[in-house]
Amino acid sequence: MKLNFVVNTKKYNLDINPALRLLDVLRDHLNMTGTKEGCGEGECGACTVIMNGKAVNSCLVMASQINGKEIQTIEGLRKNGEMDLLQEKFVEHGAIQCGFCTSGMIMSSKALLTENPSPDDEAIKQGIEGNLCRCSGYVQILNAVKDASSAK
Amino acid sequence: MSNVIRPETMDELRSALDRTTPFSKFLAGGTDLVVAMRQSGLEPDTIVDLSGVSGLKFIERDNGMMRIGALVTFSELEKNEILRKHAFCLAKAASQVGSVQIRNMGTLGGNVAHASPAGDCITPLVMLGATAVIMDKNGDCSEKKVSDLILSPNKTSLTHDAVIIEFRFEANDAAYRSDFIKVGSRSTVTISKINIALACKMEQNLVVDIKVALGAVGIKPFRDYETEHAFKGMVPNDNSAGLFASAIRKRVEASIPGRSSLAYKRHAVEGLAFDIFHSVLRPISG
Repeated sequence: MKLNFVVNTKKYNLDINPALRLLDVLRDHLNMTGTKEGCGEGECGACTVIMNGKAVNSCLVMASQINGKEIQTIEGLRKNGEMDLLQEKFVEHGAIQCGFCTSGMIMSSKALLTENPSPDDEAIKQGIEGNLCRCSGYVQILNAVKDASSAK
Repeated sequence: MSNVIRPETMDELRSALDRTTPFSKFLAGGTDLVVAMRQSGLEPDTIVDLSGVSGLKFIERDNGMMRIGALVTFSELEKNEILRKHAFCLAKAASQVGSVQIRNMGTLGGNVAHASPAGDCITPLVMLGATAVIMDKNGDCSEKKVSDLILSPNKTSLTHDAVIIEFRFEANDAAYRSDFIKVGSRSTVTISKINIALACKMEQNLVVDIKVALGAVGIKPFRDYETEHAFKGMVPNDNSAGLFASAIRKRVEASIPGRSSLAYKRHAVEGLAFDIFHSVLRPISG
């Protein structure tokens, strides 16, 4: 099936199996391996990307659903060789340990801060409720997101 | 490999219905189907991807009738001001489904068609007496009560060539107050072990009307007409929440006799019923 979509501001027009998952399209067809597969059932959030401004689990989106959509992945955050503020703050606060949850965690945080630039602690916790981290205990992540917000 | 059809208009949807078989599936948000296809090896002959159909994403109120398109997502329900005002219970239920990511994709139509006994939005729809508007392959529409449409876990009366396009319920009386409450195995991002939707209309201190539905404590969410009957026309006092809670507990005991979860559910539901009673049946002040 011919699918038209945008990933990180670049337009794609690809003939792909529409029953694949968005996660497979990103990793296997576009070689964007920053998006990770954790549980594959929408529980862990490691595969989170932003579609039309909303955080979604790319393991639960079927390729046919991305037609006409605009997708942003972790690869799209770097601008002119500079990391996004969120990425910098994750590094600064030690919010990355094994790193497997990080790209999903950052994409959920990015969607949150785009919608609500100054979230309180509760709003941050809700924003990342769909992302599991088994290393950090979440405190460093919470602090990193708060520091990247305008509410600090 | 499944054949995927991607209708964009109601007319294309109608002709897509004509191409389905009993082995076909509809995809709305995808949060249930995509997992089922990978985990249980489900391979439908045809998948009708509804996500591109325009005209099924609206929330409006016409002459006191609330109308919600089948493709409205949980996030959209949760944030909608009209819904929060006229059927708070449904907005609240939507706000407690899964995670942000799930709520951004999952739809009301998908929640009902999937017919999970624990489907959070089904309980408020059943409580509100909502109907589903169903379109068949000839383009003809019919209405069916959500409580009749759902038969048993993951089973509805929908035929393979028919699809839910809209939900309707009466919301013409601003005096109703409603809420939804649930308990799961953890505090958030959890599947309901029990949920309750309650609506009540008070005139001064008198309960003029009361409607209550229970979910995840039977093969499908259901109204508790006995408890409604017992509380209609009463003036709540300090003992009422306790009486309400024990009435609800008895209903749950009758619904799942012998089930191993009954031991804790009979206590948990009492606590939930107590809390939701207090949240909804406050006397109107000022």
